Amino acid sequence: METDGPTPSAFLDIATNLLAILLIVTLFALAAPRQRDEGASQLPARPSAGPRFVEPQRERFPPFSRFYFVLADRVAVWDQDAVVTALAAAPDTRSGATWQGRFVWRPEPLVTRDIDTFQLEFRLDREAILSRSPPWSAEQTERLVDELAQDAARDRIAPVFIVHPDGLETFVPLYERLQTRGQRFRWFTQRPDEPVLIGRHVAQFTHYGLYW
Amino acid sequence: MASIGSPPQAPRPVPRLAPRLAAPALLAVLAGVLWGLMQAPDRAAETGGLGDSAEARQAVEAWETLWSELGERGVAALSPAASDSSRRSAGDTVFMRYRNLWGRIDDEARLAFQLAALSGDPARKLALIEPLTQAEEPLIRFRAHLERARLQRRLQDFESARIAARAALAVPELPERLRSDAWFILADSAWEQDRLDEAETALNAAIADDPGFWDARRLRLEVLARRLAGPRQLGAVCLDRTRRMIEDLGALPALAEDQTQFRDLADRFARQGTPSHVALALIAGLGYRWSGDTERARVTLASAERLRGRLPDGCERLILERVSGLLEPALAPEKRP
Repeated sequence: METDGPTPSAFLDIATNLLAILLIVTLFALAAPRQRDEGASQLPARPSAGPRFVEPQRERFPPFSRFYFVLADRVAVWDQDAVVTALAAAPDTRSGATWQGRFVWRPEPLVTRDIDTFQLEFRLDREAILSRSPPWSAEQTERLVDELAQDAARDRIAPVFIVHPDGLETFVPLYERLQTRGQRFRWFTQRPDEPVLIGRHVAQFTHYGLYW
Repeated sequence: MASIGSPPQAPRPVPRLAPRLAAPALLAVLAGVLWGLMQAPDRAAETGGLGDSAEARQAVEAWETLWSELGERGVAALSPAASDSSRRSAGDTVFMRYRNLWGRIDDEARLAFQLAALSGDPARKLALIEPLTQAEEPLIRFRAHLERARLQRRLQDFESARIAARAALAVPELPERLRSDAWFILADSAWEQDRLDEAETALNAAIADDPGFWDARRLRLEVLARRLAGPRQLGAVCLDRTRRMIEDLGALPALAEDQTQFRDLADRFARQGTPSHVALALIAGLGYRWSGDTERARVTLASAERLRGRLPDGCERLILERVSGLLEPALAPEKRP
């Protein structure tokens, strides 16, 4: 004898089928615009609505750098050529010293890239700078800014200021004068126990687009 | 009866035959000329109105090849083939861009180059490099001339940079790729002194020698944009310049592994949405399209029609054909009901 027993399972079947249809329709609805977007053009990137960061263009041929250490009440130019002279006198050395500090010379063991690749680590002798350089004054700031303008015009030299935490106060007026004069310069802070690293190596180009 | 003088001669048949032969010959020539005239417009049509010169044919062939490759492979077709296992060819000299271009080298020469790189004083750098320009080894000699050229360029002494770059190019028996930097310095010096013709020639040589040279391709974009805007250029030359610009636009982000460069380059040539001629509208439009900004691409490409009349006719027509082709799929979704 037939009863109304199967009715709940029939409803269940209908509901399951409806759900399945809904699921399929939803999936198609989600997938369709995505396919249309991708099929319309071979886009390598999606546009972003927010403000863009435009990478500054590096110069084809950068200026020459001159480094300055800024300590408490002292601004001292790094005598980079003293390191060159020391290395020229003892070509096989891997470390040495100038009156301003110690250096470690790391020519690459294998010439896999350019012939002039190298890295140099320089640790500043703060005591030597503090004892042998005269205290900085407002007149010296003016003189330095004038000199830098002449060097930039004549030899295309641009300064790089390495500012120790205790030198920030000393650097402020210098920074403001350089900004006012429109002088091109770079600066960064550095802990007193950190070495200065300079060099010429491929990572400057592959990792950092700006190599001046 | 004896006659006086020579007897009258009978007319010879030859003079009568000549006009009879000449008439069909002239008719044949006329038919040939007419046939030639009828064919001429067809041949011009084959080159899109650029004329029938060998240059025009080559320019159109290269143009069509570029677009068929773009159609098949998209912008990937413009990536220079990587002939080096380096992650990317970044660097300011070919020796820095590619690995292992040096063999055994003299330690003394190497130290001099390194100390010159370490020194912050331009005069000392030059003094360290100068003796190496007399080295016996051609590669060292070449590198020394090249470094001298680079230093003079950094000092903005363009004439000395040019002389040193020429000296580097004069060093014999060097692989072509190594010469690309010297060509680039010649091009850059010419660009800075507004000698665009020389800059374009030197950049074509630099890129032919090293297709992975980002800086040379970037500078060529600027040089070609100005050359295209100049007066008195042939249609074929205009088309070649536009093609090279598209090739450089496609190659630069691939070389830098930075897709955002498409947008930066498009912005540069769109100049706030007003390119100065149809070629720049196409370049900017392609840049936006490849960066993914289809709306800005559509607007920029649509502006090309208003810029007619600034480039040679045939060149402009071929560019506008491609612009229309690019606009069609972009407009299609909007036409839907």
